[in-house]
Amino acid sequence: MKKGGKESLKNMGVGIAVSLVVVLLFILASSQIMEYDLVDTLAGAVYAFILALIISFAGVPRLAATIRKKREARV
Amino acid sequence: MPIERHEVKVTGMTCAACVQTIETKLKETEGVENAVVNLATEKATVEYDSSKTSPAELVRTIEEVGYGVLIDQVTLNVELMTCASCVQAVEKALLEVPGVVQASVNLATEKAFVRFNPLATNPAQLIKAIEAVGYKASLPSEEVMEDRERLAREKEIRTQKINLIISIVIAIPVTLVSFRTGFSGAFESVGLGFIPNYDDNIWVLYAIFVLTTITLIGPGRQFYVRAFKGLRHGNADMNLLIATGTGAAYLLSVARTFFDLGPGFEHVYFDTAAMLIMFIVLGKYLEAMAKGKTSEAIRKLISLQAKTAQVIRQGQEMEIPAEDVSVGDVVVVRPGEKIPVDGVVVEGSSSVDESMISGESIPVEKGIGDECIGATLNKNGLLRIRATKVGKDTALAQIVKLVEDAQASKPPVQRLADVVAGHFVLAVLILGLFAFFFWYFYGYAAFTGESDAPFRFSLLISISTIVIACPCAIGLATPTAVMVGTGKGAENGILIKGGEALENAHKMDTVVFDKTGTLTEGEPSLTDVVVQSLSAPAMQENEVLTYAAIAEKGSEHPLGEAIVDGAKKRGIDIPDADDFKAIPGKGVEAEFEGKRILLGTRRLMESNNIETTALEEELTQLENDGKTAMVVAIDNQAVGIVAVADTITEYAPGAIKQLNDLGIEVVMITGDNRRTAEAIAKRLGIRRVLAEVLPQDKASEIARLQEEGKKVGMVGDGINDAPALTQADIGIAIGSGTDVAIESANIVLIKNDVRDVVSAIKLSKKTLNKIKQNLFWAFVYNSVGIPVGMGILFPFLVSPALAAAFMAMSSVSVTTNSLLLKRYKVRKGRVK
Repeated sequence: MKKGGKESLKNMGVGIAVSLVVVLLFILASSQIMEYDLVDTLAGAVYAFILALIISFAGVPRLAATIRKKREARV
Repeated sequence: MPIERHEVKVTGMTCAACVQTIETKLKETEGVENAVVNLATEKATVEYDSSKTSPAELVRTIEEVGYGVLIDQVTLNVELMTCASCVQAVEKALLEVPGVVQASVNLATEKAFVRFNPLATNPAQLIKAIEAVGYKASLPSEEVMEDRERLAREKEIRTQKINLIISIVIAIPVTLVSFRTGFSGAFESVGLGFIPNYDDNIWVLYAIFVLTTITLIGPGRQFYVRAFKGLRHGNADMNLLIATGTGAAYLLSVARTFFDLGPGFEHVYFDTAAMLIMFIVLGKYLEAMAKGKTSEAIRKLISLQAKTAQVIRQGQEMEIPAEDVSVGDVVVVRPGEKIPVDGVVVEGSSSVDESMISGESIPVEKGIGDECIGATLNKNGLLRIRATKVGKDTALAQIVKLVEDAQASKPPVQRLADVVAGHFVLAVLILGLFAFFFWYFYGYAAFTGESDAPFRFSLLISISTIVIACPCAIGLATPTAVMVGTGKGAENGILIKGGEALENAHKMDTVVFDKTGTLTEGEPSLTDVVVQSLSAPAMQENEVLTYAAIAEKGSEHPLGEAIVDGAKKRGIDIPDADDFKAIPGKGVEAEFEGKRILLGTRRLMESNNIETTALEEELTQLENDGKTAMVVAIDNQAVGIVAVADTITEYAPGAIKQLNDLGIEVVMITGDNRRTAEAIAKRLGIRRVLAEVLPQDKASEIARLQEEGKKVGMVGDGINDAPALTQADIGIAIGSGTDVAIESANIVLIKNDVRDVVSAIKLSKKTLNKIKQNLFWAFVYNSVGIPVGMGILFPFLVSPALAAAFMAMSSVSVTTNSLLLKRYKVRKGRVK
């Protein structure tokens, strides 16, 4: 696999992980703290997951590139 | 390192984020030195190391990030091929032409299929490349060179028009049904009770589901495909915002259509999705039409080119395509025809309308030896012109290139917009998620007093937040104004080379004029004839001038020629002198009908014991005015004075007054002695003079002014002033109608009219104001719109459909505002 492809997969993995964390926190807060019903919680979780995933897919590669650049500059 | 430049037409860009994405990806490509992408012109200009990458690689890079590249294709007839190696040779020759992406030659059909970048090459160049390796090539008769760019633009407008019609036809019934269901009583009270209600009839719900699905996979498909392609490469653009907003409303409605979601989920939002798509497609349609108008100036310029030329070859006149005319060919141009190439008149005379190039409405008389510019119109006489510049070297081709380059460049003011645009969409999505969380967990209960089913409410606010944001307005703010501004300049003979020049021109607080050829004609001419009233017998002015002209008739000295020309202009018949003798440094002596004529300096008169005391006052006055005054003496008696000077150009005083009125300090720089220079400056109303400056020292004089903290503009004729033009903050080359490729100038004024300096400054100011207005509007719109979308004005909330309408209108309004610049009259308010 090409270096770029590997990096993309890694970014995607990080994105999914971040989104899952966001959704888990959302479900916990919605069902346990706010005590909203299941349909609201699930619908909200799906929307939050999709949005978090989109944000992660767009944001993680930028973040990774910035960190890489800073690391390269330090070296 | 062989650095080359490649331009491609990019398709599928929607906002400033797309520009950022493509620029970033191109710059990351190995071998790419610089990449500039312009949203308005939809062009990417790339400087690259040709040993490390290639145009095909650049095209691939752009396509990989989800955008298209406009590639033209042509099938050429190729003759004289005999074997497979001929095929190889033709393919190799074609692939070596810059801009060719693919070349495939078929020996059996004798055809070459070529895919090429229309900005880099054209079928005529491809034919030349094939002919250069020994084969014959031609365009099939049905293949005509078409303006691919125009066709692409027309196709985009047509596509968006069809999309708009479909989305309107669907959005109206879907919205009516949704509103009828939501506001049943209100509809019945106004007599609209006949509209079906999906609460009563499940088939109505299925019907609006099908209709909305058609909208999403029809007119809305473009946004989803582009959003997906972009996201695969980590790019967030306007398409992503639209896809997220409409997708969320649609999916929730689909779930409600087929499943019972319980309390709080009684409504569907198909109308939201359908209206969102409708408004955004409306915006895209209006934007496509407006964008087309911004590039009108370039299209007008290109359309000026004559298509064919009448050439004399082997003694016969034949019609050939204008691009096939070679340097040295003699072309015949009849009255009413366009001159096909740049050249010199070898036979005939006529008046030529050059308004399309110089903006000057009065036709220019042309005779043998005069230069003609291609694309200008021969009015009334037959001309035979020897071609001196053809193809890309003609003035018109250079003007088109210069304007295209300017339109592709970015003024410094756009840097802020670029930085913002790079992160804008991501920031909006984060705000959308934040708004959703806020209203879901806190706002809904706190502000509405309800505690059940917060999802629907929070979702709609989140969608409004995402959809109201408009990165396109930020992306279009600068390039549309630059396009219209530079285009407007080009139409009036003012060529502004790039966004930076456009932005800096109005910042000038000092304008330095090179005197000769700019403020003055550069050739001496007769200015005064003074008669000595005490002479006996007293003479008339014309008599004095006649004697002076007789004495100078045989002279080749410029001052002598000026006197002879001056006399001829007054209709004086000048007989030949019986004898003539030049006295170097002093004047001339001549014999005519027994009279001895002396014309020259005081010293010449003194050495001949001629009294000049009576003329002393006038002599001194003329010299103080910077003129060269010569005494005329007949038979050892001074009878008058003739004065010669470099004359001030017709419009210089007016232009300088206008500059002074604008608060710009005007400085004159010249190699003349201080007394002459100051006399001319005084007549022009210039207070500061840099006299006795050698050509090589002009640049350091400009630098000295810059050290005083001034923003200096230098106006020169672009030949010996090149270092000073480069040194100045803005170099303005004037009167360069046939040689516009002046590297050192930032602004080229085609016509030799100094008033265009003022026009250029005003146009720069006007364009920059437009850019600032656009950026201000785009930033203010987003800064106000996004918080409003987030529900900051609760209980006033913006519905997603209204948010989409606002968004569409904001980008249209920015483009329309730029188009208003077309109404600006560049030469308005001129003084003589």
